[in-house]
Amino acid sequence: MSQYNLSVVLLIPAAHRDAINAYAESRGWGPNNLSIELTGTGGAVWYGCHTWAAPEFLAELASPPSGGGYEAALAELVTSVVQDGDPRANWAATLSEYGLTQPQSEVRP
Amino acid sequence: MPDFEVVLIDGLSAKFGPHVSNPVAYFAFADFFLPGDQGVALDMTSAGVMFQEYYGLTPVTAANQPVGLVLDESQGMVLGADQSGGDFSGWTGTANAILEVRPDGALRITAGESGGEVYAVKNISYMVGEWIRVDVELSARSDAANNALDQSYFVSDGNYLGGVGGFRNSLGVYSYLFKCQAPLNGGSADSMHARFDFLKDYGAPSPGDWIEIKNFRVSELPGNHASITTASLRPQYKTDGTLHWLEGDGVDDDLIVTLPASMVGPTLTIGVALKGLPAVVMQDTITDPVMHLGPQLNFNPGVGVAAYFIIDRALSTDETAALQALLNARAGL
Repeated sequence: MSQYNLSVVLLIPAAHRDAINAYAESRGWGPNNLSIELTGTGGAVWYGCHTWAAPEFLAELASPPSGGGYEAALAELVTSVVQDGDPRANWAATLSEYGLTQPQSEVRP
Repeated sequence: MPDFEVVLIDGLSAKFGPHVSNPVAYFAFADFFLPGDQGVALDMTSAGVMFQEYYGLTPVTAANQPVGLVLDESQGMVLGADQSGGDFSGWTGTANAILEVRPDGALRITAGESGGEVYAVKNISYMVGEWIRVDVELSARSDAANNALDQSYFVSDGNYLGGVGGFRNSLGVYSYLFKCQAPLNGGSADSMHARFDFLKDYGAPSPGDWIEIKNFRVSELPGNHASITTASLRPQYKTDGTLHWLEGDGVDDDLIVTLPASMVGPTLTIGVALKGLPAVVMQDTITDPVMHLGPQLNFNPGVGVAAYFIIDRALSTDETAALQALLNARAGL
């Protein structure tokens, strides 16, 4: 049985967002996974998400199926994985590491 | 205890009231729904109502598993009549598919010589917004190593509606639940196609390869079930052995319930049980039938949605007390 105990933050520059979301959808993970808009240094726009994942997910990200034209987007994908991590802390730390801010909070207190 | 405010759903808020300890006259949220009542009743304590994918393939069986679908119990959870036609006589195949109904009633789909796509199609009428349960058994195949009933698409005029995969190489019985969507690109809304692709490692099968399917059923499962199609947005199921709840990651998790349009405008009764917090019961109206549970799911670490209830009428005093008691029980109070 898969253990969904990996806190995973995924980030992508806006230019590759459509491609990485198309890749995710092609793998059966549904539409628009990286959906939170983020602002980087100099006003660069990124998108991100957090998900709980099993080790199989990371294995596939490390060795994605060939074809589909997703290679460039996958090369730009930022992945932060913390086993049994606090997703809020992982999210905040990863955004900080890459100089990103979330313009409008999507989580209510 | 002091009152404090909690966001219930977009645009709505309520005050936590005192804990009501009236005798429980209702044993389940569905008991509040009289014939004709509409709404939603999500109860994470109920067995068998949670699935990992939005299309209801894999039941949630252990803590921390993702939840993509929670069944609404408000309409009784009774499967409707089988719409499959009862046998495979009405199925058609692609040019490269040879269809044969076997003596045991199974449909054998065999790859021809042309090398084109191999799949079988059945047109079944549906209503947009209906939740449909599809049961099918992948009963046999010609080559265990290579053949697969790879995908089970439910399509309309070439565009999948609740397209799902997952059969892969495993024989067995599969059930899917999905909401019939408006067809894409102007497709016909009354022509759902149950399409079973017969592929080989995501490519074309070899000529002569075959698979068999049987026990195919298509039935409506009435209700306003909660789902999320995006995998990264799925909350997790949590339990301490006694209480059961869904918890978001505090970043972007969500579940969506689309209520009937008739519920926009009239006064509704809304109840929420957050694990460890007093029940919230309120009356209010909504302007959008699409309800997002994200605010409750992401409320705080260790807190999550144990039950979620909406009905399209005001409850009596006794009903309200009973609902509060039931919600509090789900919250662990």
